[in-house]
Amino acid sequence: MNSPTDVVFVVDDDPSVLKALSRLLRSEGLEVHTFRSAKAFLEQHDPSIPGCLVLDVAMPEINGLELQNALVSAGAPRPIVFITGRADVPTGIRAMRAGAVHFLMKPVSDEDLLRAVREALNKDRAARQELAEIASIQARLATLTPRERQVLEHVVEGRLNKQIAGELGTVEKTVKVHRARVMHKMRALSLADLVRMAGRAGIPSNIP
Amino acid sequence: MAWILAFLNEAESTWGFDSGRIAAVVVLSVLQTVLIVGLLIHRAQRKRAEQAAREAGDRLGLALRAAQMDTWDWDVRANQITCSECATPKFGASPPGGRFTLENFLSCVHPDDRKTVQHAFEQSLARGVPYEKEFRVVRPDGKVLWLMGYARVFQDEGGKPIRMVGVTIDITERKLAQEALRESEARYRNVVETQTELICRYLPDTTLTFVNEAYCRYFGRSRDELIGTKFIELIPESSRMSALQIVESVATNSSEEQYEHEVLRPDGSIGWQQWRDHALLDADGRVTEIQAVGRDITEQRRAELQTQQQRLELMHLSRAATLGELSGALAHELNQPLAAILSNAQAAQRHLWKNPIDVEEVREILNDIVEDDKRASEVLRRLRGLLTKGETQMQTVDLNEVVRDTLRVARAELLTRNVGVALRLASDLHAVRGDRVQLQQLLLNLIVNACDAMAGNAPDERRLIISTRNCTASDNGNEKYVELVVMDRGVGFQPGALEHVFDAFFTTKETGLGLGLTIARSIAAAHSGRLWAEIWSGMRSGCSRRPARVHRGGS
Repeated sequence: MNSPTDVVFVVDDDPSVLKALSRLLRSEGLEVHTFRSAKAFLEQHDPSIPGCLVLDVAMPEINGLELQNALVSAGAPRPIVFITGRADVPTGIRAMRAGAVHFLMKPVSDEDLLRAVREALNKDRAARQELAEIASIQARLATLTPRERQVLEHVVEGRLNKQIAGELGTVEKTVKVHRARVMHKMRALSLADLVRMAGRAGIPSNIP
Repeated sequence: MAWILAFLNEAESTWGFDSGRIAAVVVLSVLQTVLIVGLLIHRAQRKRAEQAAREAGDRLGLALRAAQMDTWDWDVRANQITCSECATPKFGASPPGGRFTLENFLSCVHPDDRKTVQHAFEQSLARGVPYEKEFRVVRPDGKVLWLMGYARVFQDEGGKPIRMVGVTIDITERKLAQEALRESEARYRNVVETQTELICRYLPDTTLTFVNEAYCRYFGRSRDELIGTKFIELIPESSRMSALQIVESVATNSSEEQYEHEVLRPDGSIGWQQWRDHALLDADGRVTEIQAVGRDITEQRRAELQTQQQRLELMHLSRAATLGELSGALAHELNQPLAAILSNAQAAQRHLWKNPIDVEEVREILNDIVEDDKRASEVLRRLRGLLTKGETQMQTVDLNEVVRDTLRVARAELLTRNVGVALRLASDLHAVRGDRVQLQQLLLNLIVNACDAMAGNAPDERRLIISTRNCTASDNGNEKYVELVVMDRGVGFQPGALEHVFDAFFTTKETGLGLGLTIARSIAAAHSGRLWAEIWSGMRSGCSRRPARVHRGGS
């Protein structure tokens, strides 16, 4: 169910906890990379590798929350499963706000951990798919001529060909041709599909 | 000569040795010789005899004057006493008519002694025995003199006394000296006996040679029962060794020592006594006896023990309070191995469902579980150590070890508070004598205090430096000590606050009793150490302690 390239990055300053957690995850067939400190993790971090983080909150020097912030500000966020030794509500809230998937108490049961990790991996996968899709839409958008782009923007705002022609100072027939080209270049199956893609690419639309 | 010697022997047996008496006997004998010579060779050889007698008399007179003696000769029938010239001043002016009778003599005698003197004369006359009497006379100027009289009685053929020949010796000075001595002895005896202090003298093997009344009362035994016994037997077995060492030190160095020891009281209970012993030396400077003055300090001891007990209680409470503050962090410390154990055990369970089972992996997991379990018990053991109400146990301690142990307890707290610790421990640090738990508590208090002080700092400004080093006091080159400095970068004490940081219930924090530093300082004091705070430029406070007692052999 997990793609073979998914990696669970585990960061904990306590070597025996680190070892035990990685053992448990590996017993489920997961690929696990372990780090003794947040610093070690950041030094080797490759954001392109899909996967999630299992992170101890209390660590010397850079703690779990600080690592989370560092990843966010570097634009390379990852789903994070926090593990903490103490029930600290404010810390939990901060972590969840910053995008943590789960905030688990030590000692953590195998089921809870594995469920959380799976969820995190799914989330990462979904996020990566989304990013990939957006990238693909952006690439297609880049192939449009400026005129086609203008037509696209008017189309997704729900204007009729006639209105667009008036707006652009051309004839309805020309708009139709541009529109067909746009549909083709964007590989849109329908107007709704085109609107969805434009939405993903951040182009405003009036069509619900 | 043979006779005189015989007489002397008699004198020894009846009168005992006394230079005055012997002299008197010699004088009497000489007088007797003179008399006999005079009587026997009365006529035929009178001239020569008189000559001899005169010479003897001259010699006698010299002897008498030298010995401060008077001679007298009482013609019983005529009742006339002839005195040597120096006698007159003692008995006052010459009696009327120049005749000095026994009654004249008796009238000079002190009224209190007159009867016995008269009686002695009567006895002597009646039975022909020598007269011997100590008595007082009152001189006309009112001065009282002590005299000693000796005389022999001469009888006629019918056994009737005809004369008495005697000497009188002035023994006033001796009497006064004796009197003074007796008075002073009585005074000292009174002082010694009415003392509530215990006084005794003993031989170097602790055999008692003297005890005062208070000593007897204390042990509920009579003087006879105590003298000749060894006082060491009155001390419980456990305290004998140290007491004997002190006695030995007093006896060999003839020093003065003050010491305290337990003692078995007659009711079977154990008391405490404090003694000050000093050696008594003979003319050659050898210790003959040891004199000791002591008192019961059982109540004082009990109070001290109670205070000590209360101090321990307070310390324990404060320790518990400190650990209470750290409880979250300590739970974390315990949680770590528990978390590892759970994950390991569940991983093992999963492995057991697999086919084939990776036995090697399961074995490793089980080994790790055992290790983590030990680690958890270690955390508990350290906590228990700090929570136990224990007696103070002074032992040789490596302060670096104390620092490391304490940091193990404080680790989680430092972690959650984001405080980094740098250690600068001297590798050749001298060992000190101390109580491990109390020293840990002291350090823990300083660490917690430092963490509190740095709570408002930016994370990279939450640094703690703990350093140890060997020092030598600058004012006294021989005094070595060990210094431990806990330095933080917290908010500095206000200028006025620095003087009060060690006061009880002084706190700048909203939580906390304000006892931590007070107790830390009292622990330092109990270790002959000193704890103080300093504001360092750039840094906040250096809390440092210097146990002055450095274990010499340690390194």
